[in-house]
Amino acid sequence: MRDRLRNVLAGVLEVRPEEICADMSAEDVAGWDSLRQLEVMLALELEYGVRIPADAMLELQSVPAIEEFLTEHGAG
Amino acid sequence: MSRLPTAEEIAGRRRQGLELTRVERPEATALHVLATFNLDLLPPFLTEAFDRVGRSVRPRAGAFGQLTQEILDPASRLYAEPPDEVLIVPAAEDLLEPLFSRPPSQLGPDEAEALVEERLAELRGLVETVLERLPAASCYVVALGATEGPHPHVLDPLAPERRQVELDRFMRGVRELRSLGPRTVVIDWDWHMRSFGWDAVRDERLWYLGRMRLNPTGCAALAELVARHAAAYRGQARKVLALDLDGTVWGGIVGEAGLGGIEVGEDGVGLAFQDFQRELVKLQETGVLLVVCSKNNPADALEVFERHAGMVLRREHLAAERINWQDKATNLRDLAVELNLGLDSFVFLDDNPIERTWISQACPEVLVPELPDDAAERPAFLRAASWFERIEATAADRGRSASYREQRERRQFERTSTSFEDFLSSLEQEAIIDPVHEGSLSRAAQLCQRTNQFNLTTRRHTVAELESMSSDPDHDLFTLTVRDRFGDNGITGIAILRYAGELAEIETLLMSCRILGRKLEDAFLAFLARRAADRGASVLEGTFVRTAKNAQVETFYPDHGFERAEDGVYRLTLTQGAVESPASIMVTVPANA
Repeated sequence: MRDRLRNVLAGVLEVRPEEICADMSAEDVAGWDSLRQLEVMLALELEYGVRIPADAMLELQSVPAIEEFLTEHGAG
Repeated sequence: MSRLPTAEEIAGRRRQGLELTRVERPEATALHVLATFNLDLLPPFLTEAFDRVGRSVRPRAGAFGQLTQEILDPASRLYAEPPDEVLIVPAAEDLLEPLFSRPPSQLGPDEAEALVEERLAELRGLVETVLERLPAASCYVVALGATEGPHPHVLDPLAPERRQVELDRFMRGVRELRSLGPRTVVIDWDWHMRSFGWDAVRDERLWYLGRMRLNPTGCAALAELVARHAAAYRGQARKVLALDLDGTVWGGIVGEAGLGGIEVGEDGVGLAFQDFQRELVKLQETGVLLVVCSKNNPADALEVFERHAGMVLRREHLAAERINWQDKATNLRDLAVELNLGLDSFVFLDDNPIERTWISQACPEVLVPELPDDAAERPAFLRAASWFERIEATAADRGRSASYREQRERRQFERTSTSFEDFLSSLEQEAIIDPVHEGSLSRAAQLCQRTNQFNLTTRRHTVAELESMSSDPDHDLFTLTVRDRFGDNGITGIAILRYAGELAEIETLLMSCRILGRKLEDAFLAFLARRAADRGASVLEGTFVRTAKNAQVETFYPDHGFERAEDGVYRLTLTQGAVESPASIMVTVPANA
């Protein structure tokens, strides 16, 4: 997984970047609740300059899903 | 608020806020947030914004949409650990929902108006309940305003579909909550956000997914606004604005260009300087002391004040002047002595970056803002600055400059009197002592926050604390108002007596430096001794709590006949005339005291 994404997730979820692994999803992280989900999405938009539609904001709840979205949208 | 934070600033503030939350901060006080919508993004921004104004808070967001329940239920989280501050954020769209969902055919103007009045009365009742159940807390109510009316396609502002009349009435009602007393502070978001608009601070997706009406930018802006109000509420504002002249108050250098060569007037950049002066005069009118600290030939500079037609700033607006070729740090220290204020009350404005750097180094207590290079930006810069913000301008604020002028006249008069006793009696001083009441609470708190030198215990009581003490029968709170032949000094002294059986303790005794050296402290203390005896006390007790600035009152109690006990407390046995009131001062006390 790219360091850039790792750092964004770690910053919002208040964990160390090493704790973010490639197949992680919201259920695996204690603090990754619905509020954090929105904050993760806003942080990704700022970092990658993408616009995430409302439905995707709810669905992108794992590292693989986020990576796929970013690749599809030509970011990162 | 003139500028929204950038994306990087927002991310940085959030991070900083979360970091502060993780460290142990025993001094942090609780700030409870109650909103009609989801404000879970707000707390880290509040922590950070308060930190920037020198306050340590632990914000906690109440369950959103449960504003009413949390306030009414005595067992709710709001009261479990009583917060020092409560932030109430009611959105018009939530409180007036029928106005947005029902067309005028179903809800006519009369019914709409009745609904607004009803919801306003409810909101008022809720704030009253908070004030009553949390007698020491202050309550900040945000006048949020609606993003837009229900029918933006109908353009006439008075068309019933737009509901603009009702929404305006609602906003006025929220603003009027200020009348609930000094512990209620209205934060007018609706007004402050005019410069950036709703589009920058909301995100439709966050509304649909999380019932959030403010995006992170909005939360950062709101947090900053709340912190600024909280700082102003606690009287943290600076008091003195020290001004350079050439290039700052007017354009150009008068010593070189001459009276006709400087820029200040009705046109072009000259108008920017003139507008800057207008802002200075406005600050002066709300109690900021303007002083000049500049390197000029005094005659050149004074000629501009006296003869230049473009000048809006006049010499009578200035509380003091230092126009010479001395180093400006020395001049500022001199001005501080003359005004009897600490350098930490000063803001210094100079267009010359070298002078600014020098003052920052030589006088680190002085606030030295970066004045914009472009004079055209400066009036707006001064308007947006928060150094002098206060919740309201008290009568004392408005008259402050005048009283410094009167002070100068008194000094002149003192020099012409033959003896000091003579001088005192010819001053025709009157000391008016009153119990603290609603009208004097905010001035009393202001003095508690600001008085450093003649202050025996330096307890920084807030309005809320004073209010709760004044309703407690074991406390007496008094203000001292001083008048003399030169004018009215307003409320310049505060004393708090606490009774416990035979004992009366002077919890607080402070006086503004302006009135010292005129035996008014003797008259005030004599009154306190009499009052304590009347309340049945036989011993009057006082303590001296040392700070960096109150050395001048170290021997106040022993000088007035108090004995120092082993525990360091000073005690005076209350007999007839234990403290003598000076004959030269006429003392007026309230009928019931």
